[in-house]
Amino acid sequence: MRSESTHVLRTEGLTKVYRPPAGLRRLLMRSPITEPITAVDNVSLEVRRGEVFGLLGPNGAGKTTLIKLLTTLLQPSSGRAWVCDHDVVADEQAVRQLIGLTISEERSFYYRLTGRQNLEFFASLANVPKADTQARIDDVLRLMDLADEADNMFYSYSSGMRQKLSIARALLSRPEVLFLDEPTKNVDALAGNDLKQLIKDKLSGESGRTVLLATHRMEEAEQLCDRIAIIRSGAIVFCGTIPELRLRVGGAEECVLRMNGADWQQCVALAERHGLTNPVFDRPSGNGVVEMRFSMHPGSRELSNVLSDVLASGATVLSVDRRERGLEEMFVDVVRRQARAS
Amino acid sequence: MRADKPIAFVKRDFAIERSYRLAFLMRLAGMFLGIASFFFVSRLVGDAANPYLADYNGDYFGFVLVGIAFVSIQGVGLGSFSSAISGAQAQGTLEAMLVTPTRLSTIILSSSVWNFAWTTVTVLLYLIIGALFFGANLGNVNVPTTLVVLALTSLVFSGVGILSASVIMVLKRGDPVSWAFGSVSSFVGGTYFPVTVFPVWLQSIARIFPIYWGLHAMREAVLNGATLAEVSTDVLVLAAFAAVILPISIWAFRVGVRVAKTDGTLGAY
Repeated sequence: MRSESTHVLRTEGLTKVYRPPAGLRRLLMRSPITEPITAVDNVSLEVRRGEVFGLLGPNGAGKTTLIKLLTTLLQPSSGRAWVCDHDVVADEQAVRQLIGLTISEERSFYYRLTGRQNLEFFASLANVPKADTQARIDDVLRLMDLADEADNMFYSYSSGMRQKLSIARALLSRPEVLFLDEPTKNVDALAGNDLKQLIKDKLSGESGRTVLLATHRMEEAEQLCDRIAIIRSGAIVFCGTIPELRLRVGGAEECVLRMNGADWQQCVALAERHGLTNPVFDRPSGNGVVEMRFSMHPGSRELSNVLSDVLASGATVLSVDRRERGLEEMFVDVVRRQARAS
Repeated sequence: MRADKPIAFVKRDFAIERSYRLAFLMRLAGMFLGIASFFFVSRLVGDAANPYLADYNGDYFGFVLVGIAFVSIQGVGLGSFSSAISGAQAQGTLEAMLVTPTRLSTIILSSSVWNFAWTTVTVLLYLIIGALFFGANLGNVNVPTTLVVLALTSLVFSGVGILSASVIMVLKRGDPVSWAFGSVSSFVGGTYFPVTVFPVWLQSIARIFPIYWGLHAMREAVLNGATLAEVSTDVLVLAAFAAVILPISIWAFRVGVRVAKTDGTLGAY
C-alpha cells in the first residue's frame, strides 16, 4: 500500500474545536470544557517522505490533538488531512495500516502480560501475518534493546523500557509514518539520550521512514529533525528548517554588551539608530551597569558599529559576549512575537 | 473479522486470568456456596411452593439453579461490552488498539469472547455442581433446545450490552441501559421465583423483557426436556427481540463512537 506521493502527510485548514456537551449530555455529565476551545487552528502542513518532522510547542499547544487527528483517533471539526493520500476520515482503515503511534502514556499495555505477550497481542491487531509474528517481534525487541527483558511482566519495566516497548509496538506493522508523541517525556536523561540516539540511527535515516516527532524539548528537535513546525494555541506559527528559523527571528547569534556610563535612553536610541534585532535592556546589578542584548547574523558589522558609538559617547564597555542562539531561545522568540501579534 | 483476532483476545484474557490464580479458586468456592444456599432455601420452601412450581414438578432447586445460571449469561451479555470499553479506557489501552487497522466493532466483540466462554463454563459448572453435589434432577435436559435458546438469548442480551456500551462510550459511567435490564429484568423475569406469584398486571410487564421468554424456554428445555417445537413461541419472541435490538444497538454504537471522537473523549474514563 506504499504511496509514491512526495508528501506523506498533508493537512489543509485542519481545525479541531472542543465544544462543551449540549442538551441531555450536559445534564448527565460534568465536562471540563465550559466554552469552545480551538485546539488545532486552521493547520496546513506538508511533511515529505523520509524526513523527521518536529512538532514543537509548549504544553497544551495542540501537538497531541494534531497527532490524534492524523492518526484517526479524533474527528476534525473542519479541514482535511491525508496520510499517503488517504483521507484520515473517509479512509481511516487504510490510514491505520500505514501508521505507527507511540503514546507517551505509560499505561497503554497490559501490566500482567510480558513484553512479548503484549507485542503478540498488538501484532494480531496490526494485521501482522501470523507466520511472521515471532520474527517481527524478535526484530523490534532487538532493535529496542529489549530482547533480554521480553519475557518479564510489563509491570516490572522501567519508564525507559516502557517507552521503548511502545516504540517497538508502533514498529510491528512496519509503518510508513511513525508518530512519536513526546517519546522522552517520562524518562530520565540517560534513557532519553538512548532513545534519541535510537530515533536518529534506527527509526529514521536509512530506513526511509517518515517520522513526526512531537516534543516540547528543543534540544531533541535540534538533534533529530530535518524540519520543524512551531505550534502555539493550535496554530502553526513557523514551519521550516532550523536555519530558516534563525533567519526568521533575525540572527543566529546573540550579543551581550555590558556597559558603564550609558543611560537607558542612550541604549534605546542606539538600538533604534542601528536597527538592532530583538534588543533587550537590563540593569543586572543596579550599580550603573547596563546590559544590552541583541540578535545578529554572523559576520555582520552591527557589533563594530554599536561599539564605536558606545565608545564615542564616553561610556565604558565592560564585556562583549557572542554566542550562537539555541533553538529554545528562537522558539521562545517566535512564540512571544506571535503572542504579541495576536 | 479475521479469526486470529478473537483468538488473540482470548489468549490475552486467559494469560491475565491465569496470573491471578487465587481468584479462580475463590470464584469456584463462591459458586459452590451460592448453590448450597439455594439448596437449603429449596428445602425450606419445600412443598409450599408446589402450586406455583407445578410445571417443574415442584422442584424449586432445579428451578432456581437454571435461574441463577441463566442470570450469569444475562450479566455477561449486558456487561461485557461496556466493561471491555471502560476497562480499556482505564488501562489506557483503548487508543493503542484503535490506532491499529482493527475495527472498533471487532475489538469490542473480540473483547467479550473470553467472558462468554468463561460464562458458558460457569453455567455448566453450576449445573454440574447442582447435579453432582445437591441432587438436582437434570436427567430430562434437551440439549439442542437448550443450545438454541442459549444462543438466541445471548444474542438478545449482547444487543442490549452493545447499546449499553454505546452509552458508556459517551457518558463513561452510570449506564441506565444495563441498570434497567440487569436489576429490573432479573426481578420481573422470574429468576428466583415463578412469575405466576406476581399479580396479573406485573406478569404482563414481565413479558416485555426478553429474560422472561428466555428463562421460560430454558427451564422447559433443561427441566422438562422440551423440544424446539414445544418452546416455539418463546424462541420466536426471542428472535424478534434480537432482530429489533441488534440493528439499533449497532447504530447506537456507531453514533457513540462518533460522539466520543468528536468530543475527544475516546480514551477518557
